Amino acid sequence: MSADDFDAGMGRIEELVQRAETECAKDSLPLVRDLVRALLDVHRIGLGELIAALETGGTSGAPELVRIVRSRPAVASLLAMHDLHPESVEARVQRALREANDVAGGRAEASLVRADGADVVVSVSGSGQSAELLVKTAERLVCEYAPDATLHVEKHFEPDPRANAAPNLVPLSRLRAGAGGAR
Amino acid sequence: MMSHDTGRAVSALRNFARRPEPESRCDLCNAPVAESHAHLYEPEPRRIACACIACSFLFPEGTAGRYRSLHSRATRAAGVELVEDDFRALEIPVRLAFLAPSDVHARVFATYPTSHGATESVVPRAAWDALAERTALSVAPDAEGLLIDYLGGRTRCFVASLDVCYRFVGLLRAGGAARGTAFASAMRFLDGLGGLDGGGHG
Repeated sequence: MSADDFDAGMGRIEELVQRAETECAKDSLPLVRDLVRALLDVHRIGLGELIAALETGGTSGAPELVRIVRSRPAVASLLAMHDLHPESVEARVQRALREANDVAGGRAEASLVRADGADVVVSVSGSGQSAELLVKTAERLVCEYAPDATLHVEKHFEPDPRANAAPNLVPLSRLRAGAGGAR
Repeated sequence: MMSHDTGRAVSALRNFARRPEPESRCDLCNAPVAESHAHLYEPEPRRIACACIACSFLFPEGTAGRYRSLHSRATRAAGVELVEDDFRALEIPVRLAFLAPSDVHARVFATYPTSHGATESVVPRAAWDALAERTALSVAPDAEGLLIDYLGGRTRCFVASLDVCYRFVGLLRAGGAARGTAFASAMRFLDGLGGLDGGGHG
Protein backbone atom coordinates (compact mmCIF):
# COMPACT_ATOMS: atom_id res chain seq x y z
CA MET A 1 0.00 0.00 0.00
CA SER A 2 1.43 3.36 -0.98
CA ALA A 3 1.33 6.53 1.10
CA ASP A 4 -1.32 7.83 -1.26
CA ASP A 5 -3.44 4.72 -0.70
CA PHE A 6 -3.11 5.21 3.03
CA ASP A 7 -4.11 8.87 2.84
CA ALA A 8 -7.05 7.92 0.60
CA GLY A 9 -8.10 5.27 3.13
CA MET A 10 -7.93 7.76 5.96
CA GLY A 11 -9.94 10.24 3.91
CA ARG A 12 -12.57 7.58 3.37
CA ILE A 13 -12.66 6.88 7.11
CA GLU A 14 -13.15 10.58 7.87
CA GLU A 15 -16.00 10.74 5.36
CA LEU A 16 -17.66 7.63 6.82
CA VAL A 17 -17.33 8.96 10.37
CA GLN A 18 -19.05 12.18 9.32
CA ARG A 19 -21.80 10.23 7.56
CA ALA A 20 -22.30 7.95 10.56
CA GLU A 21 -22.74 10.97 12.81
CA THR A 22 -25.16 12.74 10.50
CA GLU A 23 -27.06 9.88 8.84
CA CYS A 24 -27.28 7.07 11.41
CA ALA A 25 -30.58 6.65 13.20
CA LYS A 26 -30.51 7.62 16.86
CA ASP A 27 -30.78 4.03 18.02
CA SER A 28 -28.13 2.62 15.67
CA LEU A 29 -25.35 5.19 16.21
CA PRO A 30 -24.30 3.70 19.58
CA LEU A 31 -23.90 0.32 17.86
CA VAL A 32 -21.70 1.84 15.15
CA ARG A 33 -19.67 3.63 17.81
CA ASP A 34 -19.28 0.41 19.78
CA LEU A 35 -18.11 -1.39 16.63
CA VAL A 36 -15.51 1.30 15.93
CA ARG A 37 -14.35 1.21 19.56
CA ALA A 38 -14.04 -2.58 19.48
CA LEU A 39 -12.03 -2.46 16.24
CA LEU A 40 -9.73 0.23 17.59
CA ASP A 41 -9.29 -1.70 20.83
CA VAL A 42 -8.08 -4.88 19.14
CA HIS A 43 -5.75 -2.87 16.90
CA ARG A 44 -4.40 -1.02 19.92
CA ILE A 45 -3.69 -4.29 21.71
CA GLY A 46 -1.91 -5.75 18.66
CA LEU A 47 0.13 -2.63 17.99
CA GLY A 48 1.00 -2.34 21.68
CA GLU A 49 2.38 -5.87 21.66
CA LEU A 50 4.35 -5.14 18.50
CA ILE A 51 5.93 -2.08 20.11
CA ALA A 52 6.69 -3.98 23.31
CA ALA A 53 8.40 -6.67 21.23
CA LEU A 54 10.43 -4.00 19.41
CA GLU A 55 11.46 -2.32 22.64
CA THR A 56 12.54 -5.53 24.32
CA GLY A 57 14.16 -6.91 21.18
CA GLY A 58 17.36 -4.96 21.62
CA THR A 59 18.82 -1.74 22.91
CA SER A 60 18.10 0.02 19.63
CA GLY A 61 14.37 -0.81 19.82
CA ALA A 62 13.03 2.52 21.11
CA PRO A 63 15.26 4.83 19.01
CA GLU A 64 14.52 2.66 15.99
CA LEU A 65 10.82 3.14 16.58
CA VAL A 66 11.27 6.93 16.70
CA ARG A 67 13.20 6.72 13.42
CA ILE A 68 10.42 4.65 11.86
CA VAL A 69 7.60 7.00 12.89
CA ARG A 70 9.55 10.03 11.65
CA SER A 71 10.09 8.46 8.24
CA ARG A 72 6.77 6.67 7.85
CA PRO A 73 3.72 8.91 8.25
CA ALA A 74 1.30 5.96 8.02
CA VAL A 75 2.91 4.31 11.06
CA ALA A 76 3.04 7.63 12.90
CA SER A 77 -0.65 8.30 12.35
CA LEU A 78 -1.71 4.81 13.46
CA LEU A 79 0.39 4.99 16.62
CA ALA A 80 -0.90 8.48 17.37
CA MET A 81 -4.46 7.25 16.89
CA HIS A 82 -3.89 4.64 19.59
CA ASP A 83 -1.87 6.79 22.01
CA LEU A 84 1.15 4.61 21.21
CA HIS A 85 3.38 7.18 19.51
CA PRO A 86 6.90 6.87 20.95
CA GLU A 87 7.30 10.65 21.21
CA SER A 88 5.18 12.52 23.72
CA VAL A 89 2.40 14.84 22.56
CA GLU A 90 4.32 17.73 24.14
CA ALA A 91 7.50 16.97 22.17
CA ARG A 92 5.60 16.75 18.90
CA VAL A 93 3.67 19.95 19.58
CA GLN A 94 6.93 21.74 20.41
CA ARG A 95 8.32 20.57 17.06
CA ALA A 96 5.20 21.82 15.26
CA LEU A 97 5.46 25.21 17.00
CA ARG A 98 9.16 25.58 16.10
CA GLU A 99 8.28 24.99 12.47
CA ALA A 100 5.34 27.39 12.64
CA ASN A 101 7.52 30.09 14.21
CA ASP A 102 10.10 29.63 11.45
CA VAL A 103 7.37 30.27 8.90
CA ALA A 104 6.23 33.39 10.80
CA GLY A 105 9.78 34.78 10.61
CA GLY A 106 9.60 36.66 13.91
CA ARG A 107 6.50 38.71 13.04
CA ALA A 108 4.48 36.66 15.56
CA GLU A 109 5.30 33.92 18.02
CA ALA A 110 3.65 30.73 19.21
CA SER A 111 4.70 29.10 22.47
CA LEU A 112 3.53 26.15 24.51
CA VAL A 113 1.78 27.20 27.71
CA ARG A 114 1.15 23.72 29.03
CA ALA A 115 0.54 20.16 27.90
CA ASP A 116 -1.68 18.09 30.14
CA GLY A 117 -1.76 14.72 28.42
CA ALA A 118 -3.53 15.28 25.11
CA ASP A 119 -4.80 18.73 26.19
CA VAL A 120 -2.38 21.33 24.86
CA VAL A 121 -2.56 25.09 25.42
CA VAL A 122 -0.60 27.29 23.04
CA SER A 123 -0.16 31.04 23.26
CA VAL A 124 0.15 33.09 20.09
CA SER A 125 1.31 36.70 20.32
CA GLY A 126 1.87 39.22 17.64
CA SER A 127 -0.06 41.69 15.68
CA GLY A 128 -2.57 41.72 12.87
CA GLN A 129 -2.49 39.33 10.00
CA SER A 130 0.87 37.83 10.99
CA ALA A 131 -0.58 36.53 14.27
CA GLU A 132 -3.73 35.26 12.58
CA LEU A 133 -1.63 33.48 9.99
CA LEU A 134 0.55 31.96 12.68
CA VAL A 135 -2.52 30.56 14.49
CA LYS A 136 -3.62 28.82 11.29
CA THR A 137 -0.11 27.51 10.59
CA ALA A 138 0.29 26.24 14.16
CA GLU A 139 -3.12 24.52 14.09
CA ARG A 140 -2.25 22.86 10.81
CA LEU A 141 1.18 21.67 11.92
CA VAL A 142 -0.03 20.43 15.31
CA CYS A 143 -2.72 18.45 13.48
CA GLU A 144 -0.01 16.90 11.29
CA TYR A 145 2.52 16.15 14.06
CA ALA A 146 0.12 15.43 16.89
CA PRO A 147 -3.43 14.59 15.70
CA ASP A 148 -3.95 13.05 19.12
CA ALA A 149 -3.63 16.48 20.76
CA THR A 150 -6.59 18.67 21.64
CA LEU A 151 -5.32 22.17 20.92
CA HIS A 152 -6.47 25.32 22.72
CA VAL A 153 -5.04 28.61 21.45
CA GLU A 154 -4.71 31.68 23.66
CA LYS A 155 -4.51 34.76 21.47
CA HIS A 156 -2.53 37.73 22.69
CA PHE A 157 -2.88 39.95 19.69
CA GLU A 158 -1.76 43.55 19.52
CA PRO A 159 -3.47 46.01 17.25
CA ASP A 160 -1.93 46.10 13.81
CA PRO A 161 -0.04 49.42 13.64
CA ARG A 162 -0.78 49.62 9.95
CA ALA A 163 -4.52 49.42 10.59
CA ASN A 164 -4.60 52.83 12.39
CA ALA A 165 -1.97 54.54 10.29
CA ALA A 166 -3.03 57.58 8.34
CA PRO A 167 -3.63 56.73 4.73
CA ASN A 168 -0.97 57.90 2.30
CA LEU A 169 -3.34 60.37 0.72
CA VAL A 170 -2.92 64.12 0.43
CA PRO A 171 -6.05 66.14 1.23
CA LEU A 172 -7.53 67.79 -1.85
CA SER A 173 -7.41 71.22 -0.12
CA ARG A 174 -3.66 70.95 0.29
CA LEU A 175 -3.25 69.95 -3.31
CA ARG A 176 -5.31 72.97 -4.38
CA ALA A 177 -3.39 75.22 -2.02
CA GLY A 178 -0.13 73.87 -3.39
CA ALA A 179 -1.29 74.36 -6.95
CA GLY A 180 -2.33 77.98 -6.20
CA GLY A 181 1.01 78.79 -4.62
CA ALA A 182 2.84 77.64 -7.68
CA ARG A 183 0.92 79.93 -9.92
CA MET B 1 5.15 13.84 9.26
CA MET B 2 1.71 12.76 8.11
CA SER B 3 -0.38 14.93 5.80
CA HIS B 4 -2.81 17.44 7.26
CA ASP B 5 -5.75 15.49 5.81
CA THR B 6 -4.58 12.27 7.45
CA GLY B 7 -4.05 14.09 10.75
CA ARG B 8 -7.59 15.43 10.53
CA ALA B 9 -8.94 11.93 9.80
CA VAL B 10 -7.06 10.46 12.79
CA SER B 11 -8.50 13.20 14.97
CA ALA B 12 -12.03 12.65 13.63
CA LEU B 13 -11.88 8.90 14.25
CA ARG B 14 -10.52 9.32 17.78
CA ASN B 15 -13.18 11.88 18.61
CA PHE B 16 -15.94 9.70 17.17
CA ALA B 17 -14.86 6.67 19.20
CA ARG B 18 -14.49 8.66 22.41
CA ARG B 19 -17.53 10.89 22.19
CA PRO B 20 -20.18 9.96 24.74
CA GLU B 21 -23.61 9.25 23.39
CA PRO B 22 -25.77 12.36 23.32
CA GLU B 23 -28.32 12.54 26.08
CA SER B 24 -31.76 11.21 25.31
CA ARG B 25 -34.39 13.79 24.39
CA CYS B 26 -38.16 13.90 24.34
CA ASP B 27 -39.31 13.12 20.81
CA LEU B 28 -42.16 15.62 21.19
CA CYS B 29 -40.64 18.72 22.79
CA ASN B 30 -36.90 17.91 22.54
CA ALA B 31 -36.36 18.44 26.27
CA PRO B 32 -33.58 16.31 27.80
CA VAL B 33 -34.89 13.18 29.50
CA ALA B 34 -33.30 10.92 32.07
CA GLU B 35 -31.85 7.58 31.01
CA SER B 36 -34.94 6.00 32.50
CA HIS B 37 -37.89 7.80 30.89
CA ALA B 38 -41.45 7.37 29.72
CA HIS B 39 -42.51 6.18 26.28
CA LEU B 40 -45.44 6.94 24.04
CA TYR B 41 -46.80 4.69 21.33
CA GLU B 42 -47.98 5.88 17.92
CA PRO B 43 -50.43 3.21 16.69
CA GLU B 44 -50.59 4.39 13.08
CA PRO B 45 -46.87 4.05 12.21
CA ARG B 46 -46.47 1.56 15.12
CA ARG B 47 -43.60 3.52 16.57
CA ILE B 48 -42.32 4.12 20.09
CA ALA B 49 -41.44 7.70 21.07
CA CYS B 50 -39.35 8.79 24.06
CA ALA B 51 -41.20 11.31 26.22
CA CYS B 52 -40.47 13.69 29.08
CA ILE B 53 -42.76 13.54 32.10
CA ALA B 54 -44.79 16.58 31.00
CA CYS B 55 -45.48 15.21 27.52
CA SER B 56 -46.26 11.72 28.80
CA PHE B 57 -49.05 13.22 30.96
CA LEU B 58 -50.65 14.72 27.86
CA PHE B 59 -51.54 11.31 26.48
CA PRO B 60 -53.01 8.99 29.13
CA GLU B 61 -52.81 5.28 28.51
CA GLY B 62 -55.92 3.73 27.07
CA THR B 63 -57.13 6.85 25.28
CA ALA B 64 -57.39 7.16 21.53
CA GLY B 65 -55.24 9.63 19.64
CA ARG B 66 -51.98 9.94 17.85
CA TYR B 67 -49.90 9.12 20.93
CA ARG B 68 -50.66 6.79 23.80
CA SER B 69 -48.69 6.72 27.01
CA LEU B 70 -47.19 3.35 27.90
CA HIS B 71 -46.79 2.12 31.44
CA SER B 72 -43.81 -0.25 31.34
CA ARG B 73 -44.82 -3.63 32.58
CA ALA B 74 -44.47 -7.33 31.92
CA THR B 75 -46.53 -10.06 33.51
CA ARG B 76 -45.85 -13.75 33.20
CA ALA B 77 -48.83 -15.33 31.42
CA ALA B 78 -48.70 -18.45 33.52
CA GLY B 79 -51.91 -19.94 32.15
CA VAL B 80 -50.81 -19.81 28.53
CA GLU B 81 -49.55 -23.18 27.34
CA LEU B 82 -48.70 -23.48 23.66
CA VAL B 83 -48.39 -26.52 21.46
CA GLU B 84 -46.73 -27.01 18.07
CA ASP B 85 -50.10 -26.70 16.33
CA ASP B 86 -50.43 -23.13 17.62
CA PHE B 87 -47.29 -22.09 15.73
CA ARG B 88 -48.51 -23.79 12.56
CA ALA B 89 -51.88 -22.01 12.88
CA LEU B 90 -50.20 -18.68 13.61
CA GLU B 91 -47.78 -19.36 10.70
CA ILE B 92 -44.75 -18.58 12.83
CA PRO B 93 -41.73 -20.68 11.80
CA VAL B 94 -39.65 -20.16 14.97
CA ARG B 95 -40.38 -20.61 18.63
CA LEU B 96 -39.39 -17.15 19.85
CA ALA B 97 -41.79 -14.39 18.88
CA PHE B 98 -43.70 -11.26 19.77
CA LEU B 99 -47.39 -10.92 18.87
CA ALA B 100 -49.13 -7.56 18.93
CA PRO B 101 -52.86 -7.12 18.24
CA SER B 102 -53.83 -3.76 16.76
CA ASP B 103 -57.34 -2.35 16.54
CA VAL B 104 -56.04 0.59 14.50
CA HIS B 105 -54.77 -1.77 11.80
CA ALA B 106 -57.36 -4.53 12.46
CA ARG B 107 -54.54 -7.06 12.48
CA VAL B 108 -52.30 -9.07 14.73
CA PHE B 109 -48.64 -8.58 13.93
CA ALA B 110 -45.96 -11.13 14.66
CA THR B 111 -42.24 -10.39 14.90
CA TYR B 112 -39.69 -13.19 15.12
CA PRO B 113 -36.01 -13.78 14.36
CA THR B 114 -34.85 -15.23 11.04
CA SER B 115 -31.44 -15.62 9.46
CA HIS B 116 -31.88 -12.09 8.05
CA GLY B 117 -32.74 -10.51 11.39
CA ALA B 118 -36.13 -9.72 12.87
CA THR B 119 -39.01 -10.37 10.48
CA GLU B 120 -42.59 -9.23 10.73
CA SER B 121 -45.75 -10.89 9.45
CA VAL B 122 -49.50 -10.76 9.98
CA VAL B 123 -50.91 -13.82 11.70
CA PRO B 124 -54.30 -15.31 10.78
CA ARG B 125 -56.88 -13.58 12.93
CA ALA B 126 -58.79 -16.81 13.56
CA ALA B 127 -55.67 -18.48 14.98
CA TRP B 128 -55.06 -15.57 17.34
CA ASP B 129 -58.69 -15.48 18.48
CA ALA B 130 -58.66 -19.24 19.08
CA LEU B 131 -55.48 -19.01 21.14
CA ALA B 132 -56.81 -16.09 23.20
CA GLU B 133 -60.09 -17.89 23.86
CA ARG B 134 -58.47 -21.22 24.78
CA THR B 135 -55.95 -19.69 27.17
CA ALA B 136 -58.13 -16.82 28.47
CA LEU B 137 -55.43 -14.49 27.19
CA SER B 138 -55.98 -10.76 27.48
CA VAL B 139 -53.65 -8.48 25.50
CA ALA B 140 -54.67 -4.81 25.14
CA PRO B 141 -54.58 -3.83 21.44
CA ASP B 142 -52.14 -1.06 20.52
CA ALA B 143 -50.75 -1.07 24.08
CA GLU B 144 -49.50 -4.56 24.86
CA GLY B 145 -47.96 -7.57 23.17
CA LEU B 146 -47.41 -11.24 23.89
CA LEU B 147 -43.80 -12.37 24.19
CA ILE B 148 -43.47 -16.06 23.43
CA ASP B 149 -40.60 -18.38 24.24
CA TYR B 150 -41.30 -21.99 23.22
CA LEU B 151 -37.69 -22.98 22.67
CA GLY B 152 -37.02 -26.47 23.95
CA GLY B 153 -40.71 -27.32 23.88
CA ARG B 154 -41.71 -25.56 27.09
CA THR B 155 -43.85 -22.46 27.15
CA ARG B 156 -42.82 -19.17 28.71
CA CYS B 157 -45.07 -16.24 27.82
CA PHE B 158 -45.29 -12.65 29.02
CA VAL B 159 -47.92 -10.01 28.40
CA ALA B 160 -45.88 -6.83 28.23
CA SER B 161 -46.33 -3.19 27.35
CA LEU B 162 -45.22 -2.37 23.82
CA ASP B 163 -42.10 -0.47 24.91
CA VAL B 164 -40.89 -3.64 26.60
CA CYS B 165 -41.87 -5.69 23.53
CA TYR B 166 -39.96 -3.37 21.18
CA ARG B 167 -36.84 -3.69 23.32
CA PHE B 168 -37.19 -7.45 22.91
CA VAL B 169 -37.52 -7.04 19.14
CA GLY B 170 -34.43 -4.81 19.12
CA LEU B 171 -32.43 -7.71 20.51
CA LEU B 172 -33.58 -9.96 17.67
CA ARG B 173 -32.46 -7.64 14.89
CA ALA B 174 -29.09 -9.30 14.38
CA GLY B 175 -29.09 -11.93 11.65
CA GLY B 176 -26.45 -14.20 10.11
CA ALA B 177 -23.60 -15.28 12.37
CA ALA B 178 -24.79 -12.98 15.13
CA ARG B 179 -28.15 -14.72 15.31
CA GLY B 180 -27.03 -17.03 18.13
CA THR B 181 -25.93 -14.04 20.18
CA ALA B 182 -29.25 -12.33 19.46
CA PHE B 183 -31.13 -15.40 20.69
CA ALA B 184 -29.04 -15.51 23.85
CA SER B 185 -29.63 -11.80 24.49
CA ALA B 186 -33.37 -12.22 23.95
CA MET B 187 -33.49 -15.15 26.37
CA ARG B 188 -31.60 -13.19 29.03
CA PHE B 189 -34.03 -10.33 28.49
CA LEU B 190 -36.97 -12.65 29.12
CA ASP B 191 -35.20 -14.07 32.19
CA GLY B 192 -35.09 -10.55 33.59
CA LEU B 193 -38.74 -9.77 32.92
CA GLY B 194 -40.02 -11.65 35.95
CA GLY B 195 -39.43 -8.72 38.27
CA LEU B 196 -40.53 -5.98 35.91
CA ASP B 197 -43.65 -4.21 37.00
CA GLY B 198 -43.94 -0.50 36.46
CA GLY B 199 -41.32 2.21 36.13
CA GLY B 200 -39.81 3.66 33.00
CA HIS B 201 -37.16 2.03 30.92
CA GLY B 202 -34.80 3.83 28.58
